[in-house]
Amino acid sequence: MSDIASPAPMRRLQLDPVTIFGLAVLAVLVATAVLAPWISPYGPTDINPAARLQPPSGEHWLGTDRIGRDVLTRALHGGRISLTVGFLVGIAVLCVGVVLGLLAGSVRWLDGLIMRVIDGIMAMPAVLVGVAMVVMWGGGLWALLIAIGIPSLPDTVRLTRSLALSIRTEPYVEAARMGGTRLPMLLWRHFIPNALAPLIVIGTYVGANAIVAESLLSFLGVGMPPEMPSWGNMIAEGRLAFQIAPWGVFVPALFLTATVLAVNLVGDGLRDSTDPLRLKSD
Amino acid sequence: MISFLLRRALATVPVIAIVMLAVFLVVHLGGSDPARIIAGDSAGAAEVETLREALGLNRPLPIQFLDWAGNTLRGDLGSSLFYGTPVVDMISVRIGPTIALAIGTLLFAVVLGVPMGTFAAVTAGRWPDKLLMGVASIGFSLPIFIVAYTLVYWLALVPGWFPVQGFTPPQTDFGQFLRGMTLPIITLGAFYMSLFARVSRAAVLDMLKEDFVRTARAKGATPLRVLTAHALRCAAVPIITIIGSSFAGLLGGVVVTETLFNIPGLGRLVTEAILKRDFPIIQGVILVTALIYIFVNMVVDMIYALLDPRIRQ
Repeated sequence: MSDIASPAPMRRLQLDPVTIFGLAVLAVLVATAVLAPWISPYGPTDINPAARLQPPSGEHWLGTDRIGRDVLTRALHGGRISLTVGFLVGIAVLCVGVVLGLLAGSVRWLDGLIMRVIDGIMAMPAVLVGVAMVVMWGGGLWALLIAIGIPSLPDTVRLTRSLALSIRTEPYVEAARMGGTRLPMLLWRHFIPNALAPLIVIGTYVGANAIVAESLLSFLGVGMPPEMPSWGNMIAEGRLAFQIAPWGVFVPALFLTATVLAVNLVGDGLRDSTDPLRLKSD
Repeated sequence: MISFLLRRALATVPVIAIVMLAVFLVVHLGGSDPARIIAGDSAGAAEVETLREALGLNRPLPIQFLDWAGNTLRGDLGSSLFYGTPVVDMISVRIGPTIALAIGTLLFAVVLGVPMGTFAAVTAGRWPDKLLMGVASIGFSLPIFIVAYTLVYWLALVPGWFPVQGFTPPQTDFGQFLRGMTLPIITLGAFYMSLFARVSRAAVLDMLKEDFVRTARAKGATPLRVLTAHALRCAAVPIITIIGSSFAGLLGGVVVTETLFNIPGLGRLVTEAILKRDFPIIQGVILVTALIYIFVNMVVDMIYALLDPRIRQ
């Protein structure tokens, strides 16, 4: 973290070129994912046995896979899955994490309990817990989303708790409490404005992690159903023909990389330009 | 000091209890019925019911938990549903490659990442800092797949310098073992190198602003001595914290890396168990990795106490 003073509130949304680049990449990825059925002449599950393992060409810009499906088309459709997962998990983790963090930061007897649970979650490798949950809970989209979301709770809970603890001792909050302001109003007036920026930043990292986690679980065979063109599924399938058709692995992997890099760049940019407390100073 | 060590060791007890409860609940609160999985798809309802009774799965959950926890604490992690061998034995056969990969990755990441971050902090704001932190922020975002397949393609498949996949035990052929571990270690290590570089930079930068560093400079200590004897020594605390707390993720990353490179470690054991829904294995591996994590972090906290006497109080 640089030792430059935090920007004044008025300059908050001045983003540096790198962040704008990240936003632009993200916008292109979202647009191509949304418009995938109209961009590509092929369907994501259209099989063409005559055109198996074709290298990139005018017809198939990024080649075809083992059963002749168009790799670019599948990667674009994979973006729909990944971006949806990232967005849903990001929002859900923020909501649950904020509630737990506020409880831990304001109800004394719950604090120890919640924080020990968080320690427990941090001790278990996320990928393994995800695998166990999906295997035992019989798969399905909800099991997958929960399996991806729970391991990313600790950061949000810890951040919210520390914000709650630091804000409640601020003189203006004590004054408001003594003046009889009720809890919902306190949260609305004092917690939300202070916490919103760092929480959005954490949310972007949670979203990026969720996208990676989905691809890892799909790759291991416990993520999206195998017929769905998720990037992890594509990589798992593509590696079977990696020596002949490396594009089957590299294309979805590059899409995944671009997405995660873009989301992280946006997160870093937002952090640097909004974070007056410099909470994540790494 | 002794009392600090004891208190720190005792503090692991609730966390271990919660991890055990979580692992138990994942298996028993899910939609699927362990007896159903064990009996197989062809079994009838009566067969499943008999099996449920035989396994004690019809007892109240708290009783089942205490029973299971008692066995676990005695070192009995149950048996594989498919092979019938004790899970403890299967884990002890497979843990070697996993430990080798984890330690190799950690060494790689620390040896490269910490100097990277330190150098970036010393040159803060100038081009070496920007270059190194650019590399770190890319390394931080690169999914494991892209690193793995890029390395495999350009260093193994095309020139044949490294094996594409597989594992040679070190006692068979140590050179071949190292060659086989190189690509998996870089694959998994790229992320942790970047993480450690970022944290080290922030930690050293904070220390360089401290009064005692200014005092050391004023006394005429050379820049190298200021850095090593004063700044780095204090920056070690946050750096060691992040190394300890990244251990759980590291062990999770090992699962995927082992699958990518066909290394017969704990990760492969889990992926094989997934296909057969062999949940005692998955449960056992999660427990063992969580215990390793809890132990490592306990040791890390004890190292702090040695480094920084204020923590002992």
